[in-house]
Amino acid sequence: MNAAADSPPLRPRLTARRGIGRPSVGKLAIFVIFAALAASCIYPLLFVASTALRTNADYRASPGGLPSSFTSENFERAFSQLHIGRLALNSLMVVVPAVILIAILACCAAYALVHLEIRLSRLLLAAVICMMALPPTVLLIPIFKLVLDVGLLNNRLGLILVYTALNLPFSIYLLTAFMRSVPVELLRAAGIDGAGPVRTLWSVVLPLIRPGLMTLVTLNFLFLWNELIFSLVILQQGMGRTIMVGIAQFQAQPEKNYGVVAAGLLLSMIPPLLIFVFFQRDLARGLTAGATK
Amino acid sequence: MTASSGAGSVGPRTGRRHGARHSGRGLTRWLFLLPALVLLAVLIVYPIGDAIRLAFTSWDGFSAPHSIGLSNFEDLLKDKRFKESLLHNLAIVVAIPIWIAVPYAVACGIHTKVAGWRFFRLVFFLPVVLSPVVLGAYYGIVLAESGPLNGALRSVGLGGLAHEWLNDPALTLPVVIGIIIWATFGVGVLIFLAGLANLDEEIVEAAQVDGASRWQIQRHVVFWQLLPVIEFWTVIIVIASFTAFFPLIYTLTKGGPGTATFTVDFDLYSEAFTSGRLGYASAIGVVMMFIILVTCGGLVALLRWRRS
Repeated sequence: MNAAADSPPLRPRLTARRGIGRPSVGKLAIFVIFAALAASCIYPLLFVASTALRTNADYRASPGGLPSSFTSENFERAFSQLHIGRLALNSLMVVVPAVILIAILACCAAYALVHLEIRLSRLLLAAVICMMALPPTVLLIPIFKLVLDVGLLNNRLGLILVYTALNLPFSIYLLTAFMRSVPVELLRAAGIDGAGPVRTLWSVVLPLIRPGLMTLVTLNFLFLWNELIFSLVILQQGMGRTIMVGIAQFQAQPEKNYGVVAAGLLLSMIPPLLIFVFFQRDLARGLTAGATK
Repeated sequence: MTASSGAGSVGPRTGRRHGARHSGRGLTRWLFLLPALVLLAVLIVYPIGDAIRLAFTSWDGFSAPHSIGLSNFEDLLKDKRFKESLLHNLAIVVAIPIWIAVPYAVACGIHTKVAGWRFFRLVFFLPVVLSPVVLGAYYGIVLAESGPLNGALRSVGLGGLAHEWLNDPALTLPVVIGIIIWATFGVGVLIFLAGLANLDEEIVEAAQVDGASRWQIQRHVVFWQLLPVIEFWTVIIVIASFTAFFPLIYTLTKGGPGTATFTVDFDLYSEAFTSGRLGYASAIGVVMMFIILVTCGGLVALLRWRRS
């Protein structure tokens, strides 16, 4: 809608060059719109980076412009006031165990559902798909109550288990698609060679579904690193908060310092951006799973 | 790879009876499944039931919940803020056609291999990896009264277009919806591109040979072949329209100005964890679950009916 509103000017050189090749008004129009949309997607990065690197006075002088001088003060204060290092560590201590746990449980479950003859496996998979469609907000209060009742409120283990459960349905569903691509003959051969199901899963199936596993791990890491609401409710205590909760609360202060907020945002974007750069393909594969099947 | 998206079909077939002979005795098989099933039962299935039970109680989060019958639901009927939240969700639903059309059009544009399409495909995906918290904080700064957007508008002489984007009751909800559409269109583009890659090119070529115009091909060939993918995306965003707004609203507007951007999920959170009325919030959750069930069920039924 208003996505293109804050776009910097586009690059006329490229547009012109394309125009020479095949003078099509339609293609030029598409290009111009795409360039504006692309600018709106890149601008957040540029803006946050430039705001984080300049002083507050410099920012106020021209909020959208380029910095006239650089400072590292915002980053120092992101560590000392926002405790961004501590928050990032908190997030990692929840997200990494959860991602590993999800991968293990989803692998075993998908393997059993697809390749071990289990009664009701169709019904179970249908149930898993129904859970995928369930909006997590509906579960917020009963899960809060459950975590409270078993004494895991403000305890990382509570959030790890909740994250694992919430992301299992999607993860199992995703892996079943990859499980099905494992040739049955290979499993039979392993069985004839005397390998039990555990051995077969470990040394035959896992190497074959490694791309699926990569997709699963990157996607879950991204989801959980970026998650807010359950983290907000389950880890309420000051020093255990995850990075997104910390940033959300810090930026809500009326006296906030834009530079420090921007520095925090920039640092919190590092893991997602690394995933974006190095695991694009895995993300795309995971997010389109189901669309063309 | 046939065309039945997860839209409502009972899931892919798994009933292949094979490879079982090697798989050991009955119990070991279940051991693979058990940990996942236990976790799902305890943290998803049981809470669904508990959500319904709590909806009939009064609970402040400290003392034990006590049953109060239907009075939460009676109060909901009189709750102005809740009704307003529902209306805002309705506005979001009304915006769904845009939410479908934007990624669809962008994917078609990329599919025509417009100059720099690889770059565009990459960059359009960027907002998707960023947390709604980051986007909320970013737009909170950029759209502020004295922020860069208004500054830019004023400096190019369009000061008349400068608004209090986040402080104008009529404007803020459309702004929030626009940001969500912008933040998620990259996923839609990917999904539609996957659909376009599976397009039956022979039919397209046949249509070209028959002298169909580009628009006719788009309208009569591509659109119909992409329909399952469109349905898939629609189901995703219908669910997202009830659940994807909380983190952005929490960081960007806190439901404000006033209650102008309260959505049902934000209202649920506020009742529970700001006002400490967790039983009442559970009732909101139950109503929400019911609405999503009816909407998605109706959608799936509609799609099935249309298909047959």
